[in-house]
Amino acid sequence: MERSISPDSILLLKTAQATGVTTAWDRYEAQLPQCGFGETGLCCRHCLQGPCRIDPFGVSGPKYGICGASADVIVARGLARSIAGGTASHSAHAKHLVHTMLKFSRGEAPDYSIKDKDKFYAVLQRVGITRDGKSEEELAGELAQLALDEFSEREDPPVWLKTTITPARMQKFEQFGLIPSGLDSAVAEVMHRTTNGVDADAVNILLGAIKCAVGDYTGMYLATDLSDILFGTPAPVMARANLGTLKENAVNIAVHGHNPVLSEVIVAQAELMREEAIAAGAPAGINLVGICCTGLEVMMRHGIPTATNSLSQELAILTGALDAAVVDYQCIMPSLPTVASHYHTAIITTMSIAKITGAHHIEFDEKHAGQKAQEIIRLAIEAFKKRDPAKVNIPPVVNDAWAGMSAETIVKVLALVDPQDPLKPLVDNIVNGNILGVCLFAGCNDVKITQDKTFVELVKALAAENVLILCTGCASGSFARHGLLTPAATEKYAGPGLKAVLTALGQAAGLGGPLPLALHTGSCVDNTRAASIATAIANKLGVDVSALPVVATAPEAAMEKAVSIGTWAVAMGLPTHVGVVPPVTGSPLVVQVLTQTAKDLLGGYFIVEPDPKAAAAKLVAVLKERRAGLGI
Amino acid sequence: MKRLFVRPELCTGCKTCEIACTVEHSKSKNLLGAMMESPPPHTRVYVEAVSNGPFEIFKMPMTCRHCDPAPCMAACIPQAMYRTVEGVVINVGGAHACIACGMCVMMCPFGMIARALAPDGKMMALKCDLCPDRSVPACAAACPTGAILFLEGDEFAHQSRLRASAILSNAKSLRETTMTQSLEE
Repeated sequence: MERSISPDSILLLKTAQATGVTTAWDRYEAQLPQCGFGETGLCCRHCLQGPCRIDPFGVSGPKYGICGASADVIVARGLARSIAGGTASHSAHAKHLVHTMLKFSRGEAPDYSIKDKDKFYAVLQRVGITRDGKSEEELAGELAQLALDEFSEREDPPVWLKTTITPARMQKFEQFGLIPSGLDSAVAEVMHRTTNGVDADAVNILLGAIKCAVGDYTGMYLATDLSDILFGTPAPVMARANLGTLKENAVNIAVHGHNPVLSEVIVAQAELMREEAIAAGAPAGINLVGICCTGLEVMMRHGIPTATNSLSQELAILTGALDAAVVDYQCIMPSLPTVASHYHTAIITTMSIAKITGAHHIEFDEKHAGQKAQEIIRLAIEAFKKRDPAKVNIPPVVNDAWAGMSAETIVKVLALVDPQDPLKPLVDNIVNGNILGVCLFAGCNDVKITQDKTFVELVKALAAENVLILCTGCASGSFARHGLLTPAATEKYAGPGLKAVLTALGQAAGLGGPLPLALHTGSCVDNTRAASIATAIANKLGVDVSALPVVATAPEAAMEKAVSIGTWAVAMGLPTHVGVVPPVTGSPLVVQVLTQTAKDLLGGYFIVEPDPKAAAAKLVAVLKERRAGLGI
Repeated sequence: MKRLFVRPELCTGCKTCEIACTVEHSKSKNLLGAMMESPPPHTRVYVEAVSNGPFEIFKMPMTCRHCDPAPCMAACIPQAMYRTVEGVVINVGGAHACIACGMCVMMCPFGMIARALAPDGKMMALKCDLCPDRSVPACAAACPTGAILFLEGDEFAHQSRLRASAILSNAKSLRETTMTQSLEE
């Protein structure tokens, strides 16, 4: 199997082989064969009497765990815990932003401000905080306190849930008991009910898991709101992608991880420290690039290039030109210091909860954000001085990439066509069939399948069928690396209806050409941006999201966060495709609930299909079924 | 003699057999102790994987066949490799000592011999001895799905015949149904 179809990845994988540097792909091969009990979800380690394993063939091995748990219960419990892992991650990300806003409100975070007042006021209004002549700091404090209350055990539904979904969806969640009693409580509840001797009904466990995923949605919505308020709502920006964005004559610093709290300050400080880099012998000054979602956060707000993403993060070091990687949390490979030991690259961890042995640690805090960012950049400049020019090997691959297509931006572009009723042009074009439907691409790269292959083949197939494409996270990164976030890609791959709509919108926006083939709506924590558009359309039409021709896909999913996002997409009513087989196949019941029963209960359901062409056919059929349901 | 047989279609690739074999061929004969030994104990059974594309990974438990004639015996220059009266091909406890030349490693068509340190610290050719201290070899006893079996050759073939017959009996009933249907028509 090919490891990647991304030209820069392919070149640097050859370098890795030639120099004997081990990457994730090598470590995957060393893991083969992977344990089939884990692959099927039939291994349980939730108590000290285990591990227990159920025979997936049902031939001669055990059918029950020591406690009596069946295959269905073990698989459901395992899935629930991975959803709790994803929810905990997004909630931690959101809480970090809440604390930053709280510190700002108390004057304890001098490097932060309310960057987007329009969004600030819009969110205040949505969550029910009245302005009443209060100061910006007071309002920020009130908002932060309200946000903080979302996480703890509460009696009322979370505010960021009930104010952002359709009334029909809220009613459905109430009916099935899917409203979490607090975002951290949702995670704690899953941990409780999946421990030994609590919930032993697979369907009930899955409902608990979905409830937790609804909490994941809520935390993500909150995170995006606060990021936009503190750092600005993304607006269209032309950036560049691929590892060719590293510069031989600059101090190259990668910001990597997920949260913009630190990287935003690094962007600001890097501008001020340009002369220091030049004095150190880098005539082009400081070149910031992004890896993973921290990279996408600064890409969509500042046009910082995206170098690569999660699976190929090690390859950035193999260019020999990366002077420092500054990391926060999530999807950061523990191998980075080991790979960096072959080069001069400084790996700098910054969060107290996410250290890596062998890395430099500069602990970040909001009170001294600017100073810490300077310290980090100085360390990068020091590392640059040790760069070995003989090892520099930057792949000559660069693509243009349009980013910053937030929900607000999309509405603004639509408003250029119809200022009174911005959603009307979109709805009209869906009704008249120019647009067959909408597909949100999300998720990761997964070492088990060829990097980017499913993403690229699936998006081309869907665009040819006139499906409007939104993308987030590593899907955005993948499309950026292959030149698919460009007007040229629209010309080349969009079906005639989609091309006409994207061209009309692009011309209205003054681009002189179509909008890009895929609209980069944000990082992976920003998936609710797409959900908010779907909810607005549903509310406008007076239907629920589950009636709309909207689907989601995570063709190359890898992380627990992708599992929780996929699950809330299903809960919101979206048919959700996954291109890798999750560890649930050990239970036919769980598979049936996720792929069939969920459709009856929630409207959304999972579609598992590794083959991109077959997946495209299935998603197109679903969109047509939804259109038929609406009578269009 | 009883031999090791594998049913690759039942192998999950969990490698429990490798762990059990390693522990059995350690000094301490328990997992915790084996993990702390120096030199580290070595497995004599292996699970290999062949990738035929995404999500199509063929998993195969590889065990010594104790061949007859055995290429490892033929290649063994110091004549350390011999066959016991029970039919086990092994290089310890015989008339001559293993000199770790590696000829057997090169000759084994299944790759079932490793040149490594034995628990006593001596470099030698390490291979399956069918666990002389046990009634059932550790790998077969540990396999959670029955992918590794320790049976008389006749018995394995008999079980295979029974499985095949069961499939054929379904086919027979299917044929009868079809015949009945065509008669009714």
